[in-house]
Amino acid sequence: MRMANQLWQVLMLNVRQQMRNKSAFFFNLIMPVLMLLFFGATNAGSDTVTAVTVGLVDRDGGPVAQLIRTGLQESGYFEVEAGEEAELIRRLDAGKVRAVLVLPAGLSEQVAVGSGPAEVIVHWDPTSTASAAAQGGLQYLIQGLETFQKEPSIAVRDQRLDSTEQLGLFDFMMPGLLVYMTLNAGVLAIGTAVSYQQRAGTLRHMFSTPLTMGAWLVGTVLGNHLLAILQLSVIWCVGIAFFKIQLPNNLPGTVAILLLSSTAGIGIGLAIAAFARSGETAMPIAIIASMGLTFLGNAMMPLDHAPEIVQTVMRFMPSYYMTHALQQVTMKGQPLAAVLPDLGVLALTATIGLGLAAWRLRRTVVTAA
Amino acid sequence: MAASLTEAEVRSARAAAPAVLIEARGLVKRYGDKLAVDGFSLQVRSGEIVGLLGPNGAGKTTAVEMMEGLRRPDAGQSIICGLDVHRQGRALRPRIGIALQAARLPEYATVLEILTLYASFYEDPMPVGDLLRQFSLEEKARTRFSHLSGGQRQRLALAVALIGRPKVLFLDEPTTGLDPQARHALWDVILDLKEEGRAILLTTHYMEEAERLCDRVAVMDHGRILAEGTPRELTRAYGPEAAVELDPGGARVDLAELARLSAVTGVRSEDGRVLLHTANPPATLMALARYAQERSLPLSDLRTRSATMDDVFMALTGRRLRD
Repeated sequence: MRMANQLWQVLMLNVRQQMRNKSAFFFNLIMPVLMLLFFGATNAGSDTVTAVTVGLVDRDGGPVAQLIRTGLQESGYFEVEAGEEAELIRRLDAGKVRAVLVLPAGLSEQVAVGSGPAEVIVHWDPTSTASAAAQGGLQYLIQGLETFQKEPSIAVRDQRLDSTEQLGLFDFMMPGLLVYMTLNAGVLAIGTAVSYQQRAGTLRHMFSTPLTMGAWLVGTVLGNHLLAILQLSVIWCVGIAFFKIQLPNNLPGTVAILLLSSTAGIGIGLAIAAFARSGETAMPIAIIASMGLTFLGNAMMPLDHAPEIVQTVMRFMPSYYMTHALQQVTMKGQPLAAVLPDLGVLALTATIGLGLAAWRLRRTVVTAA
Repeated sequence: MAASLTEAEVRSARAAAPAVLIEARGLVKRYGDKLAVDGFSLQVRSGEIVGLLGPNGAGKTTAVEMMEGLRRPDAGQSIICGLDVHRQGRALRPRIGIALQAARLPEYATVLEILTLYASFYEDPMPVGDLLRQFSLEEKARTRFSHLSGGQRQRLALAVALIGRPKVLFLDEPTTGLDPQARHALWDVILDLKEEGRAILLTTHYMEEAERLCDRVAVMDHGRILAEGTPRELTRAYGPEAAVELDPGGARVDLAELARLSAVTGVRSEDGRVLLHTANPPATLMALARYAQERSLPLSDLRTRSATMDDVFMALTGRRLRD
């Protein structure tokens, strides 16, 4: 009973620290919501694909040109703006259209006769990623129409994974945001706060009482677990309210991964606090660690096409395994058994981090050498 | 004020506990080549307040931390309530209360939350409400630590130190930074704690505090205890019999000439004032009056006083306590 009360009091001490410290509160709860809203605003708040406007110069006027125009309009990816080449190129330069497709005179005839490859021109602006994407899309579509009046040898049909059928763009952001929040609360907030408590003598004073290191560690971890669950609830509620995000496909599994990730984050944060010389030193280290883990953990931006060295480093980041586990369990509804290697890495990180922190704090705070 | 232990508990504690509750035996601590504490030995008995005085860097904090079990000595032993501090630390911790200097308690927690937190660490804590009343903190119960005044923080630190009903208290400069009224109020609290039979080791920078509160005082410098005894014993042994203090009003005085005046045993100049140690104040005053008249010295602010702990400290260390 006394132990339970002790754990509860240490737990609440940590929760109060996180909730009443304006800076920690902002970065733990407000910042992720702002990030969600920011991404939402910049992506028009929906998961539907926005059509790209392209210019079309039709000097052919034959059946092939008609086929291309219809193909563009029915693709759902393009809005067609017909006009003169010079005017459309001026609009391309001004960013009003993303690419200009020129169909030369005699195109239909050339295709029907089969006298060599027919050439069409795509004007695009390499300084614009949207223009580059439009150019790629046009090229893909035109090549698909090369088999005019012939049966296509291969038919391509888009089919998403069944487990992701209901998911939109924002659902895919959630694992990244959760990893960011978890690392922020564990590594940055706890790491910095404990470092300051250590240097100010607050921890030393607490350990001069019958409070044990084990009870303090468990209370601290549980306090952060409570915060992690609060973070999960807030971010999901905002997501559901504004962006029609789906509830996690495997909610208990998501919570379990989140708690293990939170423990690993606290382990890293406490180890930084225990080994840093002062609170001032701990803060930049914790910021760098938290940012590095977030960005190299495949959480905030996809690194599937990053250089090989980045992908190698990524595999040494515990956050990579947090992201992967959350993607599999939260998004696809996989059972925890499917992500056991990820859970193993997180458990190992938590054990090493907490073990190092306890070892160091015993020697510097509980009984100094 | 003495609400923390019942009279029966106090009697029982006095009867059951060993007379010596705090004992340091030859504690030694080195930091590289520097000998921070060199054979520190001290005893504090039940119902006694012992003051540890020393200038900054004298080794007080290291010595006290070794006694508390917060720092491991290179040699020597610290025994509290009959338990070896470093071997039986877990059994010992419920029996000691520590109020650290400029107490830093969790800044985002309120007074009530801090007391409740610390109460949860002990088997049989004092009721939080009683402590709030005892230390006049009821109105501040829902105020965060960071918003408390210096005096309120020190009172809270003392309340936290007492929450586990300890037999032994370590108070590290408990009244530093307090105004005189708050300091005197806290002295009364500390004297009450002594009356309850606790052993109290107090470090302080205030000589008046040491003289008012301490049954015995140990003066420490360069890691060693230079002298130990009651304030009266120390002033008798190391201080002048009496002192005549004067302000020469900016005029130059020859200290060697003053040293030859009747009954003068020592002369010192400090902050523009001159202090004559004397074995016979009337004789010295008469001689001083003649001396001043012959040289037309404006003797303003002339006073005589008994020796103080400040004089003892100066005689032993060559420094003022605040140096």
